[in-house]
Amino acid sequence: MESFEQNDGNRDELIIQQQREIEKEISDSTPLVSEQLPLNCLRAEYEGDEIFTAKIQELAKKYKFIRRTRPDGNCFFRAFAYSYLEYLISNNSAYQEFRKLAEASKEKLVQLGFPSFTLEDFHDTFMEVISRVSPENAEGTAKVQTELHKIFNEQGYSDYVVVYLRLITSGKLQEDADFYQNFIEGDFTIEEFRHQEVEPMYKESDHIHIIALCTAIGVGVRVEYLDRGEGSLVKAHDFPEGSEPTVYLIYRPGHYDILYPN
Amino acid sequence: MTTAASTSQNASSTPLTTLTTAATTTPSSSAVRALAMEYKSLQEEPVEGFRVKLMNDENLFEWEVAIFGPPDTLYQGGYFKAHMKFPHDYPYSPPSIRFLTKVWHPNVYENGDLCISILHPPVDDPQSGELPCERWNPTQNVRTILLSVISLLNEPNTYSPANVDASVMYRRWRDSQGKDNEYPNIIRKQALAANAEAKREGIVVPMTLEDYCLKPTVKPSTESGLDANFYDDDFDLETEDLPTDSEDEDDDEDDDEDDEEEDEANDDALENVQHEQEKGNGDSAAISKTKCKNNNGLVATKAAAAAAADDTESADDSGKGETS
Repeated sequence: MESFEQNDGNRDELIIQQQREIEKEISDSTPLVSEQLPLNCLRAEYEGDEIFTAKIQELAKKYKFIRRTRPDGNCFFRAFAYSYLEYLISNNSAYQEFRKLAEASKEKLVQLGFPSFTLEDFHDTFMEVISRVSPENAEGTAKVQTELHKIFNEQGYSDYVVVYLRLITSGKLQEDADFYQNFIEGDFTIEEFRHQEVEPMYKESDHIHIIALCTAIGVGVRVEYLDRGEGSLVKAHDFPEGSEPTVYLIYRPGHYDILYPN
Repeated sequence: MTTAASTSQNASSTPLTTLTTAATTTPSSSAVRALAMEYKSLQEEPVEGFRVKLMNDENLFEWEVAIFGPPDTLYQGGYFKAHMKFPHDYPYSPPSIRFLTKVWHPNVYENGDLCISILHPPVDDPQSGELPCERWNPTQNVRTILLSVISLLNEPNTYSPANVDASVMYRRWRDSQGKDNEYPNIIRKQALAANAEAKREGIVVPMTLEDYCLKPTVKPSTESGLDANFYDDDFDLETEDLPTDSEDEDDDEDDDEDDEEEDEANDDALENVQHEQEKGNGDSAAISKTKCKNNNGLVATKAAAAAAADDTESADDSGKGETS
């Protein structure tokens, strides 16, 4: 194939092109965020697999519904944002607090060196999304929930929210660099890690992303790990450790979706 | 419904309602919105050192940019045109830049493609082994890119050269304390030729810092002390036979072949550089007097100079080929 003889630049381009094709296939077949689905729908994916079937059964005792997110590398951020904003719709005091925090976050990020011109655009969109899901909306909670779902399936808004959460995460890593440096494998500096693994879109999230974001926003997240690990119990982790979770996510290797507890 | 853009404009620009309302329904909505906003803002508030315009008014995804050579540098008076192409998922992925004006520079390929870290897409390790540097993220934009490009002009990255001959020649100049002035002479020739081209187009290129800076800014720190030693002596001699731009354009086919060859050469050169660095560490005390620094702050080494000198012949050939 001719492609193998191209220079490095072209090889990069080909890799990207292939990625794009895969992304397109995924985006054509999966919404950014799905409707609520019964948890048992997971069983169909693992039919005949005893370990997973047993674990899903166990999980179903605690959780009623799952909401899928598109597997595009942004799933943690998108799932987190959706789930937390959904929680805020019915918790006005937490909503007001979060709104203040979000408002103040821009100044922090500018100080960390992000270009204010573009940052402002992301921040304004982020604030607009927050405004549109206000619990004080006179039309009622159900209406706001519909609005939230609509916003998160509109690529322009949905992705801008992801970008902004990535920036907040990156900012937190920088702010507490001494602490987070301990969790970075290899020779990466915090600076390199932020630029390569946090700020770019489509980069998958690891524990360090989750801890930084949860800490920055002051939200507890419980992640249920559905994997091939021993036993029939699904292991759960709370981030930050010991916090009271408001956001529930399910992790299957490489992907996060939203969970709804009973 | 309020569009996101209508609330997201800064004080200097008005909402781009028509463009963005339509845009929110298409997959590339973010791209259209971001580009429209940036373009409008750059028209209203130009940034020092460059100008932008659309290649075609219907298409926000292809821009022509013109970079003015910063005064008091080798590039003074230069007027470098480039083509900027934005991907459909901008700003999540970076644009690409290709110079239309001939640019002899370690980080510019023969065909004009610019290689700079800020424009590398966020795929896994596109430049593994490279030193830490600015990377693409969605808050980067045309301003930050072009400012990075302008600073790259005078501070080439010789660790992953796109044009090995230019890189070798640059290092020879740097390491010889300016005695070997083939590199600056070529740059000045190109800047002058580009300046002539600008004049033909009726463009006035800012020649002083006052004209260059639209608002007071710090003088670029890129000027190295060694310029002054020989600047006047050689300048006039070298500028008599200016290259014409016409023969330099539209030779894409040749360029593609060059790219392949160059790629192999790049690999070798990279090894050389790494090798030089290893040698350099031991040597650095001995040459601590040198003023030359590259953009990564590492002190240039005698070893590097020696290795560069080995390549003198081939570099000379291609250097001349490039400018005559």
